[in-house]
Amino acid sequence: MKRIITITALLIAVFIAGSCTKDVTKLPQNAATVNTYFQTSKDITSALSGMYGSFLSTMVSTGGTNGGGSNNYFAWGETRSDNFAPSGYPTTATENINNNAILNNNASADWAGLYQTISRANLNIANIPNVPKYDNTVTQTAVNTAMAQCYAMRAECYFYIARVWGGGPMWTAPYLDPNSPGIKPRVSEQVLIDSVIIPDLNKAYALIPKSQQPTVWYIGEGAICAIAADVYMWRAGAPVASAPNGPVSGPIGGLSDYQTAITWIQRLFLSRAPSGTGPAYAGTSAANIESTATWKNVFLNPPSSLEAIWSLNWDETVNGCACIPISIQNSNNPYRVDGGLYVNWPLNTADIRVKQTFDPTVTGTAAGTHTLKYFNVANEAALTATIGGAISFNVYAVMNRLSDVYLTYAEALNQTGDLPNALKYLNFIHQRAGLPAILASAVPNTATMQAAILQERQWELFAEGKRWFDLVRTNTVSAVMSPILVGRGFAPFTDLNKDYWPISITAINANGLLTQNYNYH
Amino acid sequence: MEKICTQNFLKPGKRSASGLTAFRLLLMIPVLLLMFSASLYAQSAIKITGTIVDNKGEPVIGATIKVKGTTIATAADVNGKYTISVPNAQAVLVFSYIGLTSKEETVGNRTSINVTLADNSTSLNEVIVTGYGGTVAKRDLTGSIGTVDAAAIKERQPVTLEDALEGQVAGVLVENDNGDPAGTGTITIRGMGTLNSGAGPLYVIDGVINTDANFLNPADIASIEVLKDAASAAIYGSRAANGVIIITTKHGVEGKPTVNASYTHLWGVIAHALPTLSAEQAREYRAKDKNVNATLGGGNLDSVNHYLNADNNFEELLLRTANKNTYNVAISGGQKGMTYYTGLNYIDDQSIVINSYIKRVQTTINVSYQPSDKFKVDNNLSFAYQTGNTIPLGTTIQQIYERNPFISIYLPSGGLAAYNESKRNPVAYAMEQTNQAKTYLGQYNTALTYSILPELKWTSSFNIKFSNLSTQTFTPTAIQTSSLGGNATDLGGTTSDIKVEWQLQSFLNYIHVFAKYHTLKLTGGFSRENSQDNSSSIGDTNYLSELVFTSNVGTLNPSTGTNPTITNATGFSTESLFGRVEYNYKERYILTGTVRRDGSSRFGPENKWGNFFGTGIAWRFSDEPFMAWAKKWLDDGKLRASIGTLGNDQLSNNYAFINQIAFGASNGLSSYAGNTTAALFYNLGNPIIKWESTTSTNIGIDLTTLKGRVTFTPEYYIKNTNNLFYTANLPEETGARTTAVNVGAIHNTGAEFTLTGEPIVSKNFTWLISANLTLQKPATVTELAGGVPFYPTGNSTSSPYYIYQGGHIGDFFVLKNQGIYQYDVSNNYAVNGDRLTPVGVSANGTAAASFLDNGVPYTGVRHSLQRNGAVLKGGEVIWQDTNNDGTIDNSDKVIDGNATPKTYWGVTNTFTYKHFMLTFTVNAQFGNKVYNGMANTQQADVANSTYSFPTPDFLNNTWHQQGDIAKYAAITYKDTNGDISNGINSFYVEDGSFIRLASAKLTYNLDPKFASRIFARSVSIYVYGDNLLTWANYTGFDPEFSTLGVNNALTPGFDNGNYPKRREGGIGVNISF
Repeated sequence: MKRIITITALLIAVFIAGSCTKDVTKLPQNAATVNTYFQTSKDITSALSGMYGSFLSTMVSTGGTNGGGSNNYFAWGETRSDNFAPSGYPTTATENINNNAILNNNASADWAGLYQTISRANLNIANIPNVPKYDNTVTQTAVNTAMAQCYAMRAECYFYIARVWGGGPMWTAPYLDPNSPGIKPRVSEQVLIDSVIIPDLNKAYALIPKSQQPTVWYIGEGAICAIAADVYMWRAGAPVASAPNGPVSGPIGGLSDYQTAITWIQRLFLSRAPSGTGPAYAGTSAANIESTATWKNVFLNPPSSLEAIWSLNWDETVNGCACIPISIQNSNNPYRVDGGLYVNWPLNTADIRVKQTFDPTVTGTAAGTHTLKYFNVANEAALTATIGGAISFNVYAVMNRLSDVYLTYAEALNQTGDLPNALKYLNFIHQRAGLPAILASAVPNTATMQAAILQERQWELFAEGKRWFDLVRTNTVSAVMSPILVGRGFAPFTDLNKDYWPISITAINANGLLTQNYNYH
Repeated sequence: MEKICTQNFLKPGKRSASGLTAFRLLLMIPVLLLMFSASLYAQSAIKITGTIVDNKGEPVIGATIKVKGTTIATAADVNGKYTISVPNAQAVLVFSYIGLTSKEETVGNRTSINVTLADNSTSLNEVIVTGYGGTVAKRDLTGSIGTVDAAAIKERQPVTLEDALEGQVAGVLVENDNGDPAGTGTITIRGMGTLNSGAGPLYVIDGVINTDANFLNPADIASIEVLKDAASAAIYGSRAANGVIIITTKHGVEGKPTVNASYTHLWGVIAHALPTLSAEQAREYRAKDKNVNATLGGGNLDSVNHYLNADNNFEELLLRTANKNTYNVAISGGQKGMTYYTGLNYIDDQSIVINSYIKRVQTTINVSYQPSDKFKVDNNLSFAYQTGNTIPLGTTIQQIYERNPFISIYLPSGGLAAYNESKRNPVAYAMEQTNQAKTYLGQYNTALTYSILPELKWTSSFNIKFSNLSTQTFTPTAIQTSSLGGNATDLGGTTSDIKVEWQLQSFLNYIHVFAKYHTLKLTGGFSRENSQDNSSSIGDTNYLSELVFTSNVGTLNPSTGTNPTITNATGFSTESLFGRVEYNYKERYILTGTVRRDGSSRFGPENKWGNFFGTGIAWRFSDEPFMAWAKKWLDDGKLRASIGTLGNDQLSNNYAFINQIAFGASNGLSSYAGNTTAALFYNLGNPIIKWESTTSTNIGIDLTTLKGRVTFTPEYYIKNTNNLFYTANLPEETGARTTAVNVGAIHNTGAEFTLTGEPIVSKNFTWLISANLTLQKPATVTELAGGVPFYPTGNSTSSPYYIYQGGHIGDFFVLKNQGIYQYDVSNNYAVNGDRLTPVGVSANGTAAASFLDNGVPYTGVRHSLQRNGAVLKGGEVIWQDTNNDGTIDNSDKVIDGNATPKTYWGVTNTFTYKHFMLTFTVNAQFGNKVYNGMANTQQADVANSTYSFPTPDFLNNTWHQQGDIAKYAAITYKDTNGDISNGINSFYVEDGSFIRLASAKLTYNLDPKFASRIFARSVSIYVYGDNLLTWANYTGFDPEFSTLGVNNALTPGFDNGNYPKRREGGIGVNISF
């Protein structure tokens, strides 16, 4: 009996010891947690990469043959414009983009990628200032450089949201608890520009160390200025909706915005280019941009280009094929160069840009389906010779470059009445392309100058995600697009409310406070 | 501890005969006879002789004959004959044999006693395992437990657990994948009760908790218990919400070793081949529907061109007769204090698709060691190894039906062409692509049982399970192509997924009988569980040799893209405390109660612990005095009811409670400009996520009549799942995508009927029948997150499913296809939405003289339906304009059928005539729909590509010109106006009902006298077959298949072209020594 008691006692002891509940807690094994991150300089680097990566995958992505997709660099900025038309292999989504018949289920109508980038910027802005508390090797300059990029990136994302949808909900702090309210109504384009975009760019400019040599893949001093100039140019001219779901009316700003744009561009001229040890962009002559012979350098090798400001980095070994929807990698791209441009531009035989942009000799269904600009391929024949290797080409989408800034500068000067200087900067680009200088007599007034600059922008910046916004900004959508759409058998582009995209049905389903854009009901 | 063991081992305590099993006695017979025979003879002993047979008249070799209350015992010889001496005429002889009902006979003045022992497999005295050392006589159950025993498994000849369970238990829906050699299937107990992962039942194998029972050889199973109601399963609290399947493997018994060996060979062919186009028909299609030039087969072909004059029958090229060999050996036995069982199984299955096979070795070793009455150690070791080559269905099977039959699949050089006219050559893919999976599995379980007091038993067990799934994939250059048509580089990869799981359990069982009629059983204990999963994947390209697959031969792939090089790790742990009380009075009033407290690492600090309760009562009304009048025909009648709550912690992610900073590929892009990305994980952590719980109520009656020959059990259940796990979409503007939330509820209800009977039992002929029937309603979603509906796959346009408050899981959400417009002018509708019949249609089909609305002339305002911005023409699909707004879009989608069977049943008949035995199982499902995605996809491919071919049905029923009455839209319209509507077209929602002769087996048991000549105890030979006959209306391969993939709980019944089932026939032999 004694033994039984002993054993029982022993067992009960084992039992209790075993059930003495050690807390059943496990932490992720392949991830850090928010509380344990942002403690070293490496963490800053990776968190910034996360932000840029999100932006990159929103703008350019692999497997883009299904059009829209997340190749929004093209969907938002290019393929709605007169630069592109449906190829022989369009999808419903891509055709709708070309033909001003965008539905609310179009993948590119979804702003999720931009808001993801914004949320990463918000998390970084909230946490990066604390890093020096944990890692004393992290200097205030390093923190400021990182913070400036986060503010500028947030501004850039909201700038897209403003331009593509006419405003959206405004989030300036990270959202971390799913039990807190996650839905917010949209704010108008004007509120976004005035309350977030411009203040963020000002903060970014204030924080960024001046006259430092930047890396072209990241937002530097020059990029901040270029974005700000673009924002003011947009503010000056684009018809916008004053309420999130209301009709569009005139622009928010006016002449003073052109002046502010000029100020930002002049600040940009003081900043340094990413390439080599050279001086600031200067912005005084054609010597500051790529030469005629090396025009394509800024696309093929931005770090070595003296006119590069900010390009998106693509690494095929990590990201896979940069199969953008106008790329050379696919035989059945959904888009082709629009017939008008494809026929008319090559008539200008002296323009060195034509054959470096696409191969005008191709006929039949493949005509214009391959944009060569981003690739080191001379023509379609050379392309055929690269079979098998084509998928390994990288695409470095240009966000900002000095030639773009020159033309913007010319436009702003023109709008503020300085025609001689406007023509000077226009001719830097025009002549670099191998064309004879435009004479002042050919562009005697603001309107003709504006038209010449816009034409130059179309050629120079083809497939760089600018054209559509240029058309909206200069209020020329209807004039340019209507004949093209009618030619394709569609209604003319008369409703300027359709400058905006519809709000994605996915976004509306998840946020009951969102309202659909005007005339998209 | 060790000291105790040693003491007990050296000094075995007193043991009473009553405490020993018959088999232990058998072992002791020689000893006992030596010890006692002399003295017994001295006391005027009576010598008794006789024969023991079973109810088929077969001698029961080795049956035990024991004199009750003494140690005198003997065993029957090979003829079933025995001789025993008893002390006096009052002596009682006890005849027993495992699997047969024991019988007692008082000697009296007899000297010859012949007995027949009845089979006890249908007896209510069968003992049911209830978990954690608990057992209960089947007649005393309060909950709902379905059982399948070893005998039933043996008759089914199963390969997987799913085979063994199919059609056997009411309320258990088994969707079998028995065509795929590596396939398993899915088991759903009492309807779908969750929206998330973890919809499958919990498996408890010899007391060890598992999430699956893969690699368990059904031949090693002694019994399967399916705990269907919450009160039964509540002891397993966590993760038991979808039911529990308790599997007990075979153990040895003391006595001479038994060797059981069997061999079967099985042939299989595709059970339901689908028609394909011949070369002639294919050319006709090209000319008629695609209108393409002669070189593509649209006109006269060059008759001497090899390339264009093939007549490929891809079904013949790709499929073959399967051959499966199964070898099984089991050795068991034991001696005093020790028993063992060893099972070894080898399967070599060369399946019906060329180059697809599996080879599997499984072994189980169970050793029990009992040094004393009080102390026992059970050890179990299992190993399994499986290797096989699986064929990617997308690039092979599905392609059979849409590939060009008149273009050669060979290159002029004689090799297989990678592409067969711009489309992958399925034969080349099947032959050249490597997709080899190897699985290693090892499990060790040890359990110590110690009887502290005669009434109190302590058990502690430790189990560790290791598994490694490794795959080797390789696509050679020859069948790789780039998007521009040339050869691209080869691509391969090796993956390894290592899981280590351990469990520790310790519990006490107490049984106390007081005041004669009161029985009290108590169980209490705790368990800990830990699971760790580490996986790695190495991808390579540019292999220098296509014969060597190690990474040094190629170039390592980066961490993203196809076949990435990555490693990963995840794990979880749980802790539980549990208790159970069982009380019964005279076995007439029975009460059980269970409680369990579970902690899971999958929840945050606030909601880690969940409490689960269950209770059941049973009332054996047939024992009441007032029921005496029915005693003649009602042997046993019991009413039972139970209610309980169970939990589920199987979130789709082990760390859904915390905000993670994810690295690399989970962020979309793994790096930017050479720097790895870090970002907030898109699945936001929800700190208050908590247990999903299921409350189920069960009411049942167990009736046994006609002297135990018929048992009937009707049952009714209501199952409500609350706090459903659901991956909620967050507003995009937050930057996060999803979060795990508890929201909503699902309601399931159903009725089950189980009937077993022995209509004929005679000396030479017996007929046993076992049948079950389940009636259920598709799971109803009674509550959802703020009432917001969602689409389980894709969006409102593309999803064939729609989950909304008040809807059912498995509802198909499609556009209603009402046929094909005969003429352009047929697309005219009255204001009220009626489709008008045009009269006097012009030759070009665009105008009509007048219109009729249901036979009545209509002159009012007419409108035509539009889709995708175009007016639908003749030869396009007539979609139902549900909202009558003139435009066909998402808002016209309707619920059209449900994938859940409303009724399913299974009947097993066993006939025995002398040495022959015939068993067959028929099972059926009714009331469910299946979406024939494979046919719809084929149609979409045909529309999109010049190089895909349609079904023969399409060829004969497609629209070509104004006035054609057709089933299929004109192919020239492609899908521009949504005529194909892949995945959302009601034309492809088909009847999924079927009746199937699932298995049949005819066995001849060799007369034991003959068997003994080859020193065998028994020899049986048999022919058998699986999936022999199926009656179904479904036009795809088979309406029964398991739905794989993420969210599978929400997307049942979508047939994307599964591995086709095979019809199998085989022979086998079983010998035991």
